[in-house]
Amino acid sequence: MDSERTVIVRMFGLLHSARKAAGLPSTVSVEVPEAGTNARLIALDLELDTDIIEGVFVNGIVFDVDHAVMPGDRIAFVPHGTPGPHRLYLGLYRAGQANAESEDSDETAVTETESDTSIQD
Amino acid sequence: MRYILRVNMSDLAITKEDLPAKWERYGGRALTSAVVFEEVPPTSDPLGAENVLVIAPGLLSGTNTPNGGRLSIGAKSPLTGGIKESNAGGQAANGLGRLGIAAIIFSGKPADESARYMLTIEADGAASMSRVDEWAGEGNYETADAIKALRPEGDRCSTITNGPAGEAGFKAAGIAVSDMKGYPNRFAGRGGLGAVMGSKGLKAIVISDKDLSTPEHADKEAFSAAIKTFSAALKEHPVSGQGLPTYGTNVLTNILSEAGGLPTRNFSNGSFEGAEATSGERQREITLERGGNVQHGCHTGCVIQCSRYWVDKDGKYKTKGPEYETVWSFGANCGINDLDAIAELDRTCGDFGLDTIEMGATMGVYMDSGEIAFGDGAAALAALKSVFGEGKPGRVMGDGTEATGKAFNVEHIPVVKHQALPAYDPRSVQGMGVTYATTTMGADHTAGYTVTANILKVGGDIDPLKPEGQVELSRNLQIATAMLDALGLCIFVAFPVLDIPEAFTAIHEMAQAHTGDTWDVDALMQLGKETLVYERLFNERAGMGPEDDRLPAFFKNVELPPHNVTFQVSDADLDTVFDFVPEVAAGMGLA
Ligand code: SF4
Repeated sequence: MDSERTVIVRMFGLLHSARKAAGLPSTVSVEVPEAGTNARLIALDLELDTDIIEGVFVNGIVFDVDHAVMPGDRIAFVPHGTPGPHRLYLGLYRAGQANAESEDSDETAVTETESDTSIQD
Repeated sequence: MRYILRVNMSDLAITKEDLPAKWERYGGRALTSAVVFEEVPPTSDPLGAENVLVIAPGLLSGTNTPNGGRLSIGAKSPLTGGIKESNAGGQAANGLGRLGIAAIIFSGKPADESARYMLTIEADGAASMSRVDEWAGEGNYETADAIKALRPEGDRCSTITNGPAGEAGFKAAGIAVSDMKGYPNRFAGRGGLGAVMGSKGLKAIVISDKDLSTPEHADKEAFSAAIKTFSAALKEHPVSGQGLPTYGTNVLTNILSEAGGLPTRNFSNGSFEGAEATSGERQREITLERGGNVQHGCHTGCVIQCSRYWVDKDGKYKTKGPEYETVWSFGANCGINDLDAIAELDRTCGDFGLDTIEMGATMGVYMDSGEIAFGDGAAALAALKSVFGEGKPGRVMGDGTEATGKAFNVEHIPVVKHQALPAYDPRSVQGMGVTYATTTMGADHTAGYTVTANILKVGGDIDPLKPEGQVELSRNLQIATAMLDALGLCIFVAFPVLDIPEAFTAIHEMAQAHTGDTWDVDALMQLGKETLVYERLFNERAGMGPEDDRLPAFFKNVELPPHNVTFQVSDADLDTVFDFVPEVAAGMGLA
């Protein structure tokens, strides 16, 4: 793998447990195209249930799941279920709202896009 | 009719009086804050006879309200010098609610400082004091066992106990409340209220609710319908129906670390390399491997069930599953990445009766002084035990973060109003910084649904690293929190309530059907505002001013990795949080 094109991906909460139950690690490195990709494509390649993702950290900032991811980034998928005011303060609520809006407006666009993300556990 | 049980610790007189009409709509935090405001001279000595200790179940506690059994304990705080309400789970609130007790108010103090007393309230309402001098210095677990041994076969009771830290008058002392199994592991931890209890010679309170049923409702049918709606909303929402029951509050460790908002090694970094090892996800795995319990309520009627037990390597109960704030305080904040070490520190604090947030922050500054190394769990345990034994830092640690930081010349002491900041670095989570700085928050003049809509609207727009919108969001969240605390509802119902309109409606329907009074959304928010008015006015009269509503300077001057940000909300903006007080206070006749 070209280390300059890798992205560290972490999975929290129910996504973490689902990976562990399947005998898979909850932190992986994936290789992404030089021009980047988006978080949803990475999630789909990892066979994560995108319906339960509320937000994705990209380099420590929460975005919606369609946010761009570039080589060298560090990302983390957060499912719905974050307690306390942090869901608002950290922007998870905002991200969830954006996900819902984008799903309403275009349900299929992303899943039809071909991905060339490769995964290394 | 709810009543107040008054206990004068100077002469041990116990009297019952009807709840005054002016407080009929109050429970929990609203009542503790109203009583402290009315009965405690603001400049009095918190450990003197003039302070009171008020213990109040929520307005809905004792009923079948889902997650409605939270307890408020209030007094003037020896740690902050201001008013304090410390909120705890456990069984006591439901017991008091079933007995019809709106509040127990302890006043005065015994002339004999070596005397120890236990208040026992039987299921028929009979209340008596007994001397328990032989329990002096005993830990909370030993005291809970001693109480069990005294109770008749088949009794159903809850306990509120004070550990040796409270007896010693430590400013970091909390008060323990028993859970459903009788473990004294739920805490009214913050603000040193254990020291107030200790100053009154009060070692324990026993509340029996054997064979007592829930209190009568004004409209039983309407109440049943409302709790059904409320319960369904809690189960349906992903926060209360999935995240919390599965992982508990410690699901936040990985998230806050990733956000760069997990204070690490005395607030010198926002991300902790040991986050995964101390995360809620890992906590669950280890507990399941050891055969421990990973989901139960801290009191009967909790449908969210975020509690769990931590068991040792032999599968034996050690302590409650450490909450996020505890895992942070003794974990990331001390650089300790071992959940067993954190649980040992949690158990020791629980038995001594020390607030884990204050003590973890205290340990952080002690480590920062270089006396012991960050990450050294064994040294941390020895330091904690030194509050009652040999070695450093000794007794000063029991007075908390500021006292210890000053004693060891630490530059960065993370306190506001002399109390340690909890588990979110205000530089990366600016909204939390506003809340920390101002503590008791006010409302604007919007009401009811406008407030909830506003929370979600502002919450939908803010950037955690920027100041815009933070004051407004923090203010509105605090109104809602004060309201929930007054009703006895766990704060974790907040998100279903914000997201599912029927859940909010169900709250005022429950209040109305139970009390027979008229409740609506505006009235609920007014309850939150009035609670905050009492608190703000008391603090002002105790001598606090705008300069007390500030974070320590290093949060503004020292950038926090990994985002390299400082706290940016201006002092002028912080000062707007309380703009509402004069008008609401005037409406309450408190101008
Ligand atoms: S959700 Fe957790 S803190 Fe709240 S009442 Fe239930 S067990 Fe207690």
